[in-house]
Amino acid sequence: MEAGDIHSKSAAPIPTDDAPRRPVPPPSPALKFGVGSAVVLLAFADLFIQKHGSFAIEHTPVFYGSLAFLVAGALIIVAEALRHLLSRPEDHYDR
Amino acid sequence: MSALESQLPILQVIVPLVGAVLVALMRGGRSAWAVALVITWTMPVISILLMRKVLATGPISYHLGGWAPPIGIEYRVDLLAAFVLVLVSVVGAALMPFARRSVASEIDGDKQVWFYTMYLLCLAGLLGITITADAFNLFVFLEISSLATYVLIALGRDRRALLAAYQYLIMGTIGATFYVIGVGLLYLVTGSLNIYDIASRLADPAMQNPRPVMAALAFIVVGISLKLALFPLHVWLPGAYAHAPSFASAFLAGTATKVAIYVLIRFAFSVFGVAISFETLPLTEVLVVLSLAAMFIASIIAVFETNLKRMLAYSSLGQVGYITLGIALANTQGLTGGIVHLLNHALMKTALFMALGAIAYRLGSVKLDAIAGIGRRMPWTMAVFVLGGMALVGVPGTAGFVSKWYLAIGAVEKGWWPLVFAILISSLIAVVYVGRVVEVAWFREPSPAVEKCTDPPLSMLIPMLVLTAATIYFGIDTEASAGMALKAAETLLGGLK
Amino acid sequence: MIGEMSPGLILVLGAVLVPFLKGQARAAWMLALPIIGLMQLLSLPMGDLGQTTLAGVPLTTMRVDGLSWLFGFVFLFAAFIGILYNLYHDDPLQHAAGLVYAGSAIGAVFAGDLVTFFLYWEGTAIASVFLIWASGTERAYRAGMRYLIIQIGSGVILLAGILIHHHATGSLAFTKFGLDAPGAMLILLAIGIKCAFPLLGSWLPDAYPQATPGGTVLLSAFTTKLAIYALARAFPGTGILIPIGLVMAVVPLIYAMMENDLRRTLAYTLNNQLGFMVVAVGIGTEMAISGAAAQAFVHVVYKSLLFMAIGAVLYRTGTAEASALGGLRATMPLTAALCIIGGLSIASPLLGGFVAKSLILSAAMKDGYFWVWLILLGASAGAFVATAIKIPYAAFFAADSGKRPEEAPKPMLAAMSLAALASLIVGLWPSLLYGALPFPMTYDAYTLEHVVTQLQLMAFATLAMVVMVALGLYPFERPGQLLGADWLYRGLGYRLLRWIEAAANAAWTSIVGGVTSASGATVAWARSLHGPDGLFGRTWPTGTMALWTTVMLGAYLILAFV
Repeated sequence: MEAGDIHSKSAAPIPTDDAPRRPVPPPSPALKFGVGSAVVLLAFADLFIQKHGSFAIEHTPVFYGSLAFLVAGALIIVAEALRHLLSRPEDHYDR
Repeated sequence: MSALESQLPILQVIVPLVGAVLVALMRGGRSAWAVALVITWTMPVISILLMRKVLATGPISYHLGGWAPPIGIEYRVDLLAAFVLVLVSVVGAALMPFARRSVASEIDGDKQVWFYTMYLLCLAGLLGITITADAFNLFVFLEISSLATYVLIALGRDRRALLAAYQYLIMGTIGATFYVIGVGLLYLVTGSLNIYDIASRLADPAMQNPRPVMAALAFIVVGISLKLALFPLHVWLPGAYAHAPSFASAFLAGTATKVAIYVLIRFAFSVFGVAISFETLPLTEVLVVLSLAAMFIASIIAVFETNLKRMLAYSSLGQVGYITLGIALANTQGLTGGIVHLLNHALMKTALFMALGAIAYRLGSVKLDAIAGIGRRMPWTMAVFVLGGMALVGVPGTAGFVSKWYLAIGAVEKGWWPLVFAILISSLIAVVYVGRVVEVAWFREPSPAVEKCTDPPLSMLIPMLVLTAATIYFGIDTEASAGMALKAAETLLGGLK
Repeated sequence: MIGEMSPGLILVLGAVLVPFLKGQARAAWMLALPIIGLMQLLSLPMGDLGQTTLAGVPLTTMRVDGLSWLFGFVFLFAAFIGILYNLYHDDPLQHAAGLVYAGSAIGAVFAGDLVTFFLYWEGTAIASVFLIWASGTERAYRAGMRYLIIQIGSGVILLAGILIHHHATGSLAFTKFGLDAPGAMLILLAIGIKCAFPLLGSWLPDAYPQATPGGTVLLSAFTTKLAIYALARAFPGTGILIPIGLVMAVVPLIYAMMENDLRRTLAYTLNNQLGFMVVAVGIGTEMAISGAAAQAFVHVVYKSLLFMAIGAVLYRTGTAEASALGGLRATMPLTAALCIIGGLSIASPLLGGFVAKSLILSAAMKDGYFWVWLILLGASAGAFVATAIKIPYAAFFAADSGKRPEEAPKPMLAAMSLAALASLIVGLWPSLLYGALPFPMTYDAYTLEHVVTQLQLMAFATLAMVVMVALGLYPFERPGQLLGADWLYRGLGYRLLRWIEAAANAAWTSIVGGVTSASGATVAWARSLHGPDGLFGRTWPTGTMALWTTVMLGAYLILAFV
């Protein structure tokens, strides 16, 4: 798309910022307590409800919770790993 | 009235010719313009009357000076000729209100009279080419229009206009020479100069020696291809359009190449007939290849062009490719697409060149980087440009889509699927060259020079808007455009099977 | 009322007046249009309406049935909140483009034949690019141009498919096609491009983040959901859609987690949600199609809400990059709260997404698609992390950026509140939605089992996030360009094009040079061809042109006599 002067000027290059981010506050105690108690309560409730699903695996105790935990954790780790592989400076295609 | 009515064919040509003389006698640009305006505005009246008559009673044959053809010169108006007459005269008339200020701002006072004189001569030549049924008379009109065109181009302010006019002069002369050689060969073989007489003699089974006829066809096709700027014989056109005065660019873009294409259609279908043109001589193959080359290569050049007038000129080359492709398909739908695109492209391209003329009038430049942000300052002008550009792309709801629709169906009927794709994909290139102008014009920061621009006066704006409205109208109601083209195509193909 | 005119056309025609109105009058007129459109829709009976002919082709411009009614309704709603949101600016061009875009999408939904459908389909492509270019930056220009080419390309492929289909069958009806129907593959490809199928959908995360804040809101609502509608209309039960949809549901999630630009993150999660709908269309049972429609319905609502919230952040701070944001809840509490509602709407009971997605999962389970069900379930947990947690967390919590912007302008807050309210209404009274589905059904989303398992999903996903933050593994976003399928054309394709251009130039130079010197033209001229300009783009010397004329004549004559 190098067409004409007006379109061939690209923005100033932006360097990749691999410097560490600003420090992230750790999860507050209230949040930890809230999420912790919700998790425990829901896992406990799981034992008492009647499940009607047609797949056997669904009847495993705390199936939904464990799946979610695994998927979410894996997603973050995979994404962080892949980011190193796939990330380029922002002006990568403009050069 | 009825006496006058029977003289309409000759009036169509003689009025602008006499008008040219009248204009030449005028003293100033304003009075010259006023006379030219009156003359050009009578043209659509005559052509529309002719069209009505053709629709009501069939082709009109007019014998010049009462001499019957093939000895005398015949003027003949069939549906296709009437269609092109209306197209040329309407574009010529619609442009006139625009001319006053545009010409005054681009051409020195004392030369304006000449400019309008040449304009009327050119118009007379183009109408004459369309209406005459005499091959040699056609050559005369071709020369009249060409000579006038050279002057129109050379009157451009830019010194390069002279060079462009000179180039066109050389090329145009070669083209005309080729044409006249072809006509000479035909005369040798058939002993006639009347197009329909030649056609009937060529159809005679006794005509079993087609070699000189083949040569004649080759000469005529190449000569006319030069005039219609078929790729790769196009090279005179971008310079000519870019450096000519804005008004001349708009007029030529809308009419000159269209009339040349009309001549090609006339000879390919009416004179030589489908059998000779498309079976004996591989006109289809050659035209398909060259049309595709034009559609793609010329359009890609347009993408990289930063002078917008040149960009539109290259775009015209690509659009001519669609029309010749329709001719090459040589079936009803394809030919309809080609013929209707004559009209549609004339409307959209004239409006686009007028928009550039308006920008040149206000800003003095038509370079891409100079017009940044102009959309907000000249919204009407740029709206015309956007809509015209969308028609070039072939956006549904615009006339351009109708043309491509028929062309694509024509290709489908032939079973040429790659061609269907080529027709459709080529619009993507137009998306790019139109899109970048739109983006720059509407969304970039304006320069101080652009800040001061406003829409041109109504006399310039209204003609653009009228043609743009027509572009949209013929995208929705196709009865008058495609419906007519379909009938013309059926006649062209049907009479010769 | 207004005959049988399509509500879409009301918006398109209404847009013509927009540049001529100012201030309050313009705002009132624009807001009135979708309301008039809705009244029109409500006044019309079901059936094929608006019959007309265009160039001899009979058209059905207004087909109202269960499927088109639902999509048309939610599009009108999205148009209303989109217009309301956009009142923060005063650019008539953007307003008009937005109206034409929304109107075209609505018109396409009600199109009963392929030609009408195509006309509106192209309308969405052309009008929407203005919302991208309106940003006025070089990046927006380029992304917009890529977007436009791809969108028009989709239209071109669609048109080719329609031509083939019409040629073979003589029919222009827009109904269910089998994959083996003539032209159907092309039509599917065209829809697939707009639907952001794997490898075909790079335009989505490429273009959406470059639009204006309000532009992205409109963009997110229409194009892709129109494609889902078209899929549900033309290809229900097409098996190949199931794997395609699964890839869409999973792969963009990873990109969403990696991505720094929050609007692009949303674009990726949008793609992920489309995957659910594509799978549902692929399953193709009544319940699945209803699920796809319901999901599209609520998705329009909550995705708009999220884009609106991040758009407000962008509008106030000038950036939507996670690495430059954080801690904004201090001064934008309302936006933060509405953003959280939007995020939660993807899954939480009481909100829209919960009642819709259950239908798709149940449909997969009912037909015994175990792996499909499992992958979608995992993907919905992932989507919860990438949408409901990441977006509000990065913008309003996380590390404090020190930015203290003003609260969002009033029209933005009003639009967001309306969307949040809509999500809540659907969540609280799901029967309203279920009753309006293409195959109306009674389905109980609020069983104890259902609520508990869903809450579990949300809570454990949040737990994983909290653990990761505590361990210092998250957040990790940095500015950068992620390589995706668009590398094929932005990287490889572009280089290939340059190479072809150079090669073609060199080839032509040598061919013409050869011909010229053979015919005795000057060597100096041949050399001048090697100048910086391309061969064709230059003004050729007159002699060359004459030469070419002769060459062509010779070619004709040879062809004629051989």
